[in-house]
Amino acid sequence: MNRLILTALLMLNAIPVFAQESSTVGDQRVPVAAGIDVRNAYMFRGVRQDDTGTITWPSAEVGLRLHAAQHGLTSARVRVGTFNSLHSGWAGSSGPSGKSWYESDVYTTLSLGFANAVGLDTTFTGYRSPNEMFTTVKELSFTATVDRAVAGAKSLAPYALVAFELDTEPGIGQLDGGFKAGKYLELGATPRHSLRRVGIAVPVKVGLSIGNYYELAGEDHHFGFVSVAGIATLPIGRWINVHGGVEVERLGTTTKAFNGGDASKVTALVGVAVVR
Amino acid sequence: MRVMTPPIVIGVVSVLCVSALFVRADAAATRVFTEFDVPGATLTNAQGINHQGDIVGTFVDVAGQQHGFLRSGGQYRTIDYPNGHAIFARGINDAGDIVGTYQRPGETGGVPAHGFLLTRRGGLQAVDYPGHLNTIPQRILNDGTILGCYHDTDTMGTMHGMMFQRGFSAIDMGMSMNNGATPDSAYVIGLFMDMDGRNKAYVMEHGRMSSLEVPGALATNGWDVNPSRAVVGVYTDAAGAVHGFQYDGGSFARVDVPGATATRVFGINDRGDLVGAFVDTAGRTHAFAAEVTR
Repeated sequence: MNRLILTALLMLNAIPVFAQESSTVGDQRVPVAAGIDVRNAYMFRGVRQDDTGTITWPSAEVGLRLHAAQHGLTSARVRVGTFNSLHSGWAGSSGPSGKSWYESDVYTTLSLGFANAVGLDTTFTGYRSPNEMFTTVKELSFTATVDRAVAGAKSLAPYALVAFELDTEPGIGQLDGGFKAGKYLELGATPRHSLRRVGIAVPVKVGLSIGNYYELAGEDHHFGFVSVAGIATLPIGRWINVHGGVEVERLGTTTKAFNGGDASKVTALVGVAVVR
Repeated sequence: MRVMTPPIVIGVVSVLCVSALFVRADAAATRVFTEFDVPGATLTNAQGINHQGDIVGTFVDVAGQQHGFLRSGGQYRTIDYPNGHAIFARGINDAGDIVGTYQRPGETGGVPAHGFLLTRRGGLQAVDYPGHLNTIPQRILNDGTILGCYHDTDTMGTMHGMMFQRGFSAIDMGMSMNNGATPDSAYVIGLFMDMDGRNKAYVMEHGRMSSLEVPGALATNGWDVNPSRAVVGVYTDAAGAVHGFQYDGGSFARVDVPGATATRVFGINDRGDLVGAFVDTAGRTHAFAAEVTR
């Protein structure tokens, strides 16, 4: 089941949520995960990055189990990963930069698991743009997750994420390009179920500014976006799966402006992942 | 790179375009003018405005250095280019991406200009038309389309209107400059010098060009257009006075900042708000915004 969560997160998010889940990989001492997705649009926390051409997301993560126990603190892991976004459209090879490598992120996470199925992740992420379409964003985030089966194979996996932009200047190192460093809150859940061999996940999330995260013309708009998606995952072999799905987002005032005035966005994606 | 050839000779069409037009002086009546200067500036000139009212332009500081600026929510941010001078921020889209120009070390005068794109998130890209010495990106649309011109040894015969849209393209007509377009790029406006030696505005719809001239004007320059196809710009009247104008498809309206000796309109957003520059009675240049009363 954890592999399904990982797959859903790989498909629907750039590095932050990938990094936030404390249970994305199994109980291996050195778990590894990698994936490559292809999609028509890249929205990060409701903010359009690109919706032209083809967007390809290679990513990889390796972990190290530091601790395992039956009670109290049941697990402790360190995870290190990279997320990349390659673009053939405006943000990439067909745009002003002429280069396709739009984003390359590196993150490290300390994941703590507790006996009551609560996970707590602390993640530092550096979001870089090799083709210099944006300035590097440094972010510290904390995620609390509950991953508990509620009815047989079903689970909701609710989570809350808080993120802080660090080391910013006006227009530098910020998702919104605003004057002040942003603080972000995301609330979500990943209801999931299995139908025969096919895993079905329906991730739902809402993104909110809790301080200058969605600045527009000097005003911080609290509501960023709400999103719902449907993801189907088919395992092929023990560690490999193929997946595909659709995500629909409704945008707030700032994210709508950044999306060219359109208040919604539909993203389709397919990919393959390896989780061991 | 591709070259677009206008199917109609501008000089022939211009007379037909202006024959039924007149100039109204009431454009200011529906707008509230706000004059502003970048703090400490000796000159401020606004060039572009987006949906949410972010304004870009250029200013000269007390040391005589020219910088670009962004005015957003009443706050100012200075825009500079590494190792560049004479910075000029010209256009901004709703996402906050900005285009403009700079000069390289050793360059002076009005001809040298090199383009840049400053993304909302601070990414900086050069915008240089391949194979030519100078590029002026004047406007950026919400889909990232960039409009402006390239030129080489002058801003006359070597200057051609250009567009960047998954690659560069240009108008096969000298002394021209693309300055604005509707969101779908189907309706492009700009300025050119006609065969009679006068500067005129043009509109190009699906590649078909026609000129636009304020009746009785000595010169007319088109500087921007909004999604409703309201064209704004600058004209010089028969007495030599400089005014802004707005063309709504049927008639021209004069735009003058109250009390100004000269007014130039350079930008319009989808709400109809205008920005530009004016000269006061003391001869100083300030920026203005003219917001439509709602």
